[in-house]
Amino acid sequence: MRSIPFYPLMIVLLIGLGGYLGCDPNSIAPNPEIIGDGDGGAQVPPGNFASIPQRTGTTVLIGSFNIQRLGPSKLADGFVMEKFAQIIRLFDVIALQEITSKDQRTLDALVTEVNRLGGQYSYTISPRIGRTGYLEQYAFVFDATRIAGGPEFCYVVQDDADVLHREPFVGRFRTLFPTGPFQFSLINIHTDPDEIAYELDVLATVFKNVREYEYPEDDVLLLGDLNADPNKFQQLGKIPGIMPLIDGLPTNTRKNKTLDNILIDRQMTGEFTGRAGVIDMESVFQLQLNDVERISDHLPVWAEFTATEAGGGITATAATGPTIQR
Amino acid sequence: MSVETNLDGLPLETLKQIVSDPEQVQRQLMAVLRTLRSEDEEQRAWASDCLQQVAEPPLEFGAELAALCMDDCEPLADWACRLLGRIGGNASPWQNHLAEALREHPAMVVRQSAAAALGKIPELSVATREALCRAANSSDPRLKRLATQSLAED
Repeated sequence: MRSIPFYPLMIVLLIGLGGYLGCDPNSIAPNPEIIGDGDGGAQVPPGNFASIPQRTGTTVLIGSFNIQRLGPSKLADGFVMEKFAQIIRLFDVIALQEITSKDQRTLDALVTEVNRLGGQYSYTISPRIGRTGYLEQYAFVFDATRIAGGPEFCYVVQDDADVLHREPFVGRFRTLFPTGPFQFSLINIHTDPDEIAYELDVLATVFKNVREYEYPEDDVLLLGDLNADPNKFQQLGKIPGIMPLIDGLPTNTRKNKTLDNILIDRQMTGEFTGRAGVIDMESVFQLQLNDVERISDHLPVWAEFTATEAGGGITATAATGPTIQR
Repeated sequence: MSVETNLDGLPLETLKQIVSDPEQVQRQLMAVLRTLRSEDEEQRAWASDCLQQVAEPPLEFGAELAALCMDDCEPLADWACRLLGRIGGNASPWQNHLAEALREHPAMVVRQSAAAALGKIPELSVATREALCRAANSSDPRLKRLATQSLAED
């Protein structure tokens, strides 16, 4: 277990057995036979997903989705589970927030639904996190035919001073492409709207310290339900090079608030292709608002990256802002 | 001390139906609050989501909320303090209830919420300020931070 300085003291707690003590994603060899075009050989799910980039042999799609209280009732709702599965199958890696079930088989059931059509998705899930009344879990679900990851590469930022309601869950991933890997770390966060101003400032420190901890990894992305529009990011928005990839687009189901985001350091993550956006579930599933609200009160957000390391810097396109799509 | 223990909360389906409608939540505010007594964690989570939608509870709920600040159901007392704080300056008549929760509630999270709520009430009494001053010296870092912040805002 290593320590990193934090606000005033936060140490990193590894929840996996390997952690950074021996296992490393670099030790997982790519398997050229299973690297495909991103559908894992399974049927393409029904729906109008034309506006969302297809995963290819040269790009990866990373997303975030607050799935609003994944618990027993949603687990028993076939309609909702099917839509969750369809969304997840669009991504190479997706960060999930708000798994509230006590039953630790819940996410396993969801991933089984994801793989029902032939995919090979895997997941890592955080411990239950929170203060009172109910607890939540974060998760990363990833396409194991294209991405290396696992619990041994994940940890929760431990918060001894209790400055965050839900401490972030960090995971390290690596593409399994024969052309060379893109390795990146994801900071999965769900902020508390009651203390949003304070927590966003704290997250600036979290981002910097996780990046320092992950060094020499330079591709650190912060993603999740930030409960704030980018113009209210305060210290988080002032980190040199920081760039919210979702700006000016609503991410809640009622389409009147930008709550969710994916943040990169544009000076470091040159792998960003300049394409990011929000999945409009009403449009892609051809549903009415009340049916979309059965799925979640949030919309999934996405960003596309090249599947191989691009080094530092960024393309001119991204430097002037991403091409936001829906 | 428990208040209204004989009254039921709302079923899960109702909570899901009203969660996106702050006006509906506000109309059933006390019933939503009582749902926090449920042993079903999923039901409590959805009730909390409903309560999160209430930006400023009507003043008419002030006395009922104040009476719940010392409730022995931790999530219920926690939310009662938070909602009282959202009433803001008009919650001044009930600041002694928040101060009592800050001083005496056995659950740290309730004491923390009481400390935060008092920061939204201007013109605190001497007794309330004393309670906040003691909390500002707490060994609990979050209580200490919130109490210090509330004192600074007064």
